[in-house]
Amino acid sequence: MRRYIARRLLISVPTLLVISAVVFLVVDLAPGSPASQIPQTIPAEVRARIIEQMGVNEPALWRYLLWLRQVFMIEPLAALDATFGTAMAEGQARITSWQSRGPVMEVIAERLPQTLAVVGGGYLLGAVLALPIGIVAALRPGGLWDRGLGLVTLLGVSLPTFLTAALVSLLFAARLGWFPTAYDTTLRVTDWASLGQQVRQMALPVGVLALANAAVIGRYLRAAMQEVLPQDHVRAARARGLSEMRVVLVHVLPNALIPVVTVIALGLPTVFGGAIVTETIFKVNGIGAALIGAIRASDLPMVQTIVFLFAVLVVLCNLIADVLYAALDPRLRHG
Amino acid sequence: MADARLVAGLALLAGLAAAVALGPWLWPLDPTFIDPDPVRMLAARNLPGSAAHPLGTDQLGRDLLARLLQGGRISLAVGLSAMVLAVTLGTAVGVLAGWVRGLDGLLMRLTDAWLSLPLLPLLLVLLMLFRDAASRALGPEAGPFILIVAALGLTAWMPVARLARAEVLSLRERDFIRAAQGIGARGPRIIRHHLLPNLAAPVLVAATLCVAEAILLESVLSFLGQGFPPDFPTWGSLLHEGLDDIRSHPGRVLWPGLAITLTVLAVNLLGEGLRRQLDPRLRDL
Repeated sequence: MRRYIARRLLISVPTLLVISAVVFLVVDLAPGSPASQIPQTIPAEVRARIIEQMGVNEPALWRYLLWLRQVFMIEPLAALDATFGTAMAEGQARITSWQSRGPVMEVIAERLPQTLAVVGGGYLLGAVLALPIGIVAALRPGGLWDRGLGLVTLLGVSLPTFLTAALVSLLFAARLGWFPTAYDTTLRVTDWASLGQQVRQMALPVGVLALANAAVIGRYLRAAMQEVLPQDHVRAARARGLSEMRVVLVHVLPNALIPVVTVIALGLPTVFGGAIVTETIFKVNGIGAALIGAIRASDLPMVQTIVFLFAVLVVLCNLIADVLYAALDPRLRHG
Repeated sequence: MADARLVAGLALLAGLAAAVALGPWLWPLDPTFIDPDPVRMLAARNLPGSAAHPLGTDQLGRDLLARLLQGGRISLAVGLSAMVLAVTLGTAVGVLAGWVRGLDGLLMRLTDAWLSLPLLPLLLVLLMLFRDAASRALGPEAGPFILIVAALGLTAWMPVARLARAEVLSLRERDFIRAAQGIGARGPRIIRHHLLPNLAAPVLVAATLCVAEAILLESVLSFLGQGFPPDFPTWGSLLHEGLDDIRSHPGRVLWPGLAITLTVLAVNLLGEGLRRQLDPRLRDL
């Protein structure tokens, strides 16, 4: 098991390097960038210094290495400094946003909690809801519930999130006024009333995400259950006189969950990428909104960093999916 | 017997495509017409549905139905072109990886790395950085179109490549390929005459799903304001424009949204139906 994880970790290093190179080069090779994208309001001598720092006159490979050093060495050190009060990254040039003129990572640290709460919460809730949905559908294939799920999943896949989210927001927030139309980031949960407010402002985005994902994951679970149900060990369990409940929950579900867990892990990056849309509609001040804001303002360092963070998330989720799969399925570990 | 989904998807898609393609003849109002007389222009703004404008007019007094039909032409064209690009690229990579042993490891590693790219953020960045340059080099209409099609195609070929590779790996062990090799046929000829025709069926299913994916992604990009320029209507950009007035005129979001949903639904039905049709094991389920 340990060797498997080690090997898998080693494979992700080149993947991460390739992806970081793509992210860096896309922004770096864009016409006119990066020097001409610096806002005109910055005085000429400062501009020259920025260009010097970015190493614009150096070859692309050197610039890439400089950037890697910033991303993998200086920023983590700065994060440690901020946590433990040390000064390891002092005096080093950090990745600086052209909008706020402050370190990019500070903005990201500010925005991340909202995204994690809303998008992560929605996905988690969706995965939990998928359990009963998938189980009931698998036990009666072709039944009313199963057909209903098939229809809802098909609609869920075809309905773009931005449309459902916009309509839900219009109906429940703007027309009926049950929920706030914008997410209040400054809200601190201190008592019951503010907790209720927090729940109310999270309800719509989390609900939309949860329902959309529950249908998709439930569909996978249904298919996985159908593969396990006719197997011999399930029959043996039934023959031993176990209750149907026990057969399904103890003998079928754990086996069916193996591929589903992988699907859940692999879907995570897409869901966080989709955060851009959800956050725009529900006006959540998260990382996706930060990316859109940075794109509109041509804040290249911010854009580059956020896209790279998304890429790291993808690689990380692939890694987690593989390790989980090995941990749950002994055949893979010993095979 | 043909699957009901296949028939439904095909009928829905054919209807949509016909409506969009014949749009200018069916509904001859000019989608770009803004009344030059300011008084009449102001009076024509934000009209509700009527006989003259069945879906009403937008904030500049343009007919929404005509704009919807014109937008549909662009949305469908984007979806189809991106699909052709993705399928061509994916099939080429997949066939090469499956047929040429020495290239397999490298190409599949590349495919996996490509699959790990964060799709939506990267597309947004690509459009942001290259849109102006593309408009300047290729014209204000062709530029964004080619850029968006290229970006969507270049980020959608990986599933096709994996599928094609798997098919080629199993086909190459079959007797008819062995026989072709036995009578001295060379690689390119075998690929053209024996592999590609046998690949057509599974790739077709992947291709239909590619179209749905591309139309959805284009509308997401336009929705976020990074797709086509405002005076270049697609379903996504119409929806984006309508979002500002969603409280007073929800129809302006609803109609383009419905068009996107129906198209994607039709393509998904078609794909599912085709998959069942081509795979007899699934047919009785």
